[in-house]
Amino acid sequence: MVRTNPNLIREIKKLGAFDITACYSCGECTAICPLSENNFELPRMMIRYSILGLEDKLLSSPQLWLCYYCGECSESCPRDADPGALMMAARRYSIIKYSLGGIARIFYSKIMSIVSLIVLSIIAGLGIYLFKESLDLTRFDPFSLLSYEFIHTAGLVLAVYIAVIALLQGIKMYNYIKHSALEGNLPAGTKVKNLIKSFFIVLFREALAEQRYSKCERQSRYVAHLAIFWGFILLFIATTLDYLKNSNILGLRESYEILKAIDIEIFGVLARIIGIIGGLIGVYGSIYFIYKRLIKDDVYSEYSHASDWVFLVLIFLVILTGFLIDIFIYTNMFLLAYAMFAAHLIFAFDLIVTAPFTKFAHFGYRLIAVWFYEYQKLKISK
Amino acid sequence: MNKLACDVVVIGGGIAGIQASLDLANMNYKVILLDSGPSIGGKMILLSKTFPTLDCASCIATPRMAESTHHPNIKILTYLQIVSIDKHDSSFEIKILKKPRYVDESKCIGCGRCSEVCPVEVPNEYEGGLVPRKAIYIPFPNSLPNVALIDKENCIKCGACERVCPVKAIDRNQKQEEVLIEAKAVIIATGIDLIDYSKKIEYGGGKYVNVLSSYQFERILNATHPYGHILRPSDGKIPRNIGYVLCVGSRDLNWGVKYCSAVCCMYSIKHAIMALHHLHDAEITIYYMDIRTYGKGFEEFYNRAVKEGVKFVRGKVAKIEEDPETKDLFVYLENFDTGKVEIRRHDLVVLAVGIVPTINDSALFKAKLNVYGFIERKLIDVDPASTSIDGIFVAGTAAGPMDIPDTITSASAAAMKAALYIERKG
Repeated sequence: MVRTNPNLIREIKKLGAFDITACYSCGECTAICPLSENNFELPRMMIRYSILGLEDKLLSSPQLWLCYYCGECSESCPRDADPGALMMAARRYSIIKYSLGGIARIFYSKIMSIVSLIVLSIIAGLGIYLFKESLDLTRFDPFSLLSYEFIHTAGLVLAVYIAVIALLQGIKMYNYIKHSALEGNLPAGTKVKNLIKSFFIVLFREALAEQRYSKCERQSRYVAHLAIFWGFILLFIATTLDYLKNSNILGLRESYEILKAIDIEIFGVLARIIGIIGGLIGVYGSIYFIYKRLIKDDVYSEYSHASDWVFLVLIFLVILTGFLIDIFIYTNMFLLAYAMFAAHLIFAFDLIVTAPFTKFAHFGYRLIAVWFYEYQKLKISK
Repeated sequence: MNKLACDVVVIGGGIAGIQASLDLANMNYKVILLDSGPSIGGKMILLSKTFPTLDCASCIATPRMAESTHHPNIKILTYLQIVSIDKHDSSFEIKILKKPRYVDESKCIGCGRCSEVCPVEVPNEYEGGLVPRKAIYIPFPNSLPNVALIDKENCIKCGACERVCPVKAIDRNQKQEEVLIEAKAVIIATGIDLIDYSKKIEYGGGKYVNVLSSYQFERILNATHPYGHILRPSDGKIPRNIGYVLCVGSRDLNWGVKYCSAVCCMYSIKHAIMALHHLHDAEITIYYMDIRTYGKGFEEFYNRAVKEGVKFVRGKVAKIEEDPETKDLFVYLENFDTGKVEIRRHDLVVLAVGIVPTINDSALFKAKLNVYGFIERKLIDVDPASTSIDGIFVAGTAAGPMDIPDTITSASAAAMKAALYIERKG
């Protein structure tokens, strides 16, 4: 039985696909799309699902996440229906629907998202205020703002929080998209082999190199997108190294001779270098997209939903405040450095807490969709 | 300055202008028929056949052209430019600039000796540029007036034509000439042009040799075909596999025009049927968004094409690519029946280009244009031949895309309205 949602197209239109009902279904968008492939056609099929109200079909389409919005479809559409915007709006809609209890709806409303970010910032600010230590103003010591244990525990809690929600929402998404699995059955051994093989394809080609994105025409955008991603990865590595240093390699250094031989300071230096590189490319990427969305000179940047701004601006602020801490340390303005550190923690808290429900989540959903797609491709390649 | 006077000036010597002139002349009005080109006949005389009956287009057009040329009440002026149209109380003053042909119209007998000896070859615009013509030329075999003209831009002034002309008609000193015509009414029958598909980069932007416009293919199918057979331009191979792309520039907000060009579906079906008559084993595929067979006998014509083996595939062609070696073409589309993206190979691809108005200077014609640039009809449902200006009438495709029967009906209507207008003014 097929259930239809007569309001589907109205809801999706509100999320950015303003002109899509002009579509007369000629298929030019699908034929021009550099990423469209047999069995995984986009975007016309998605347009039909949306207009017909086939919500389950739409949410079960991994194709939504195979699109990188290069905008070729929108540029050649004879009806100016902007198919690329439909794909984008449908992705926003899926983030809402895949989220636990539909909670992501909050972050797709302008007022609600601002209110919730303010509330989260206040919570983070209060947390810092309540747990703060006595500041050492003669030098910059982060642990004189918040104790090492506190930061450590808070980080761990957030990591568990992210992991649990990501897992639950990933399962929710999988329960939808498994319906678009292609026909055919393989022996269990081949299945496992294919699953692993496609996982590595996704990891190396998609997650680390975004190879599908590079098929889109505009290379500068591909580079900027990759820059944000690698900025994140490098900052994550830098944070981990710093943590290893401060925890004396998880507190194991005292117990093992072999670890004692390592000069612990090298971790700090590495963290510094990697952190600066990661921060720089991350700033480049986020400024590129903020600039593009401000000048609106490209198909994809013409319309920006509130959620796009929240995501971009938070990333930018997190990295910027991180840099400012360093600048204030080097200029001996320690009070300002502490203030920046507090701001950095608040923005990072906002970013991490909201991540599973905002545009940030596209990273996870896209990887699941591409993994699914690569697995299906292996399945029919036999 | 030369001065002429008549009852009605008809601007545009295509089938609409000719029909309107003949109707008025037969009612005993004096008509001056103007054409910007060197011959009357317009688009129809260059077509192969008409749909849906597959009648020979020139067999219908030529007698009308001849009749209008010989009619005592019709004076034809060709190869000119309209400078201004002014309305004074109850009369119109039309100022025209007759361009020099460099051949004396009164002397030339249309023997064609000059073209034979002319050493200059340039693409023949009447054959869609597929074959060359000479710098001194008669536009097409049944041109009227059947008089040569020199294409000054390409002429090398070698004098070969002057030496062979049996009547010494070549006159290099001809100057352009202003003519002032006074008339009681004006009929605009300026017709249409075809959309220039070079703007569509995805279709090769006019660079692929085996991608033809529908007009070029129309010429190839014509009885006086430029190649003498259906051949493809790149290597002269007989195309066994022809793809036909509909709605090229029509119904396209992106680069073409918004409206439906009204005739492309039908002339494409006609081309497909005619091509199959020549090449029995050819595979012809028409890619369409909608087949609009709105007229009498049109749906039957479509059914006939299906029965005769023409393949119809629903899906707009998004992109055409050329194999640089063989010059074969690959069209990209989403097949609507299967939802799959398909890449299909063709020997020859024909683009059913849409139509646009010839007029782009509304100030000159005074009459109001609609948003698409066609002449706006006063009341489209009850007074389709009148324009925003009393005394100026519109005939044929100057008012919007239409087929030949509609054009002729509209021309007769304009003639009748013009006659009524003159009678009323006394």
